[in-house]
Amino acid sequence: MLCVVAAAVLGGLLLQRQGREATESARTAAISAARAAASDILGYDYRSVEASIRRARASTTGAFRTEYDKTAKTLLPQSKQLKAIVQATVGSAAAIDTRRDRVVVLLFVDQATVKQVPGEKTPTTRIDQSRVRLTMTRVDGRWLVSELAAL
Amino acid sequence: MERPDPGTAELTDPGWGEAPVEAPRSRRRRALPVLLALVLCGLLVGIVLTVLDDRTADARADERQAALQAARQQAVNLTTISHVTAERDLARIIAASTGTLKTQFETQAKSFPGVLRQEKSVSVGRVLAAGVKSQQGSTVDALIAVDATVSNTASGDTGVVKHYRMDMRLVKVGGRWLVSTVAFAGLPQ
Repeated sequence: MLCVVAAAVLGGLLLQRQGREATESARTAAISAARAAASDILGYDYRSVEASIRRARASTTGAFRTEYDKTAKTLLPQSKQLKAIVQATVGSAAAIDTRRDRVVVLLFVDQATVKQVPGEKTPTTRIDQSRVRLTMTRVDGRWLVSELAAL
Repeated sequence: MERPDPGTAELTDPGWGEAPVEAPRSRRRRALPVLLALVLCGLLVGIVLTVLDDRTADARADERQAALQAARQQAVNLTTISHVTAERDLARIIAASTGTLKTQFETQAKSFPGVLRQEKSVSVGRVLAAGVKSQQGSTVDALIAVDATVSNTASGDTGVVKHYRMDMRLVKVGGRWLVSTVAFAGLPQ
């Protein structure tokens, strides 16, 4: 009888630990997915914008996918018209909140933009140093962006 | 517990035909409690080890939160400075610092208030987001996104909002999490 109780307690504890370890590995996996996704979503090249959009879209889910699709509709013609090239470099990353299937990540991103405004002789360049909060959600084992906010 | 010893029984009662069969079963009966006791011991050891390990993990999670809280507070301290309360504001930053950051502010503590008063500078900061980048023993690296409304003689009364990206290193000294370095990832925009 005591053995059964002890076995049950140990089993429960081990299960709990498994949950904790799952949270730890969720953090690592979600952060690395967030870095890649941010670079894909925030950067594009007008010469290959269709592929950029496809790749970026694949890293999104839920409401943010719908939102991204809307953005992509204007991005597609606009990027070509302006001959825009945006390179997004992800610097540091940190976990704001970690759950097993949902991790909120803070990223420091540098966006370098080159574009040629019609009518102007020289291309315009600018660098934006932004702070981006990404909510990563696990869908079928993959970490996808369910929310993105520039702070 | 008055079970007859099977060996004796066999001797005193030779007509007890079941005795040779009974003997190993009885030994098995005695072996069972021993086995169960061993299993129980094993399980208890397992429980103790797991609980100890969990407590270490809990402590680690608590430290993480404590360090992050200290980082947020210091981010506010660093961006909330007024020419009216300059000395107190700087003392607050120094109190939450150690190492390089502490030395930096200690050397500036004398000249800084004068500069602030001259510019009539008032800055009020607030944390937008903060997270832990890495955690190793008594060292934690944290990222903090901070906005500060700054007004001075140049900006006028309305003030300008500055956007900061801070990368802080915190170390635990004497039971407290203190900030040892702050790197501003890029210029404030």
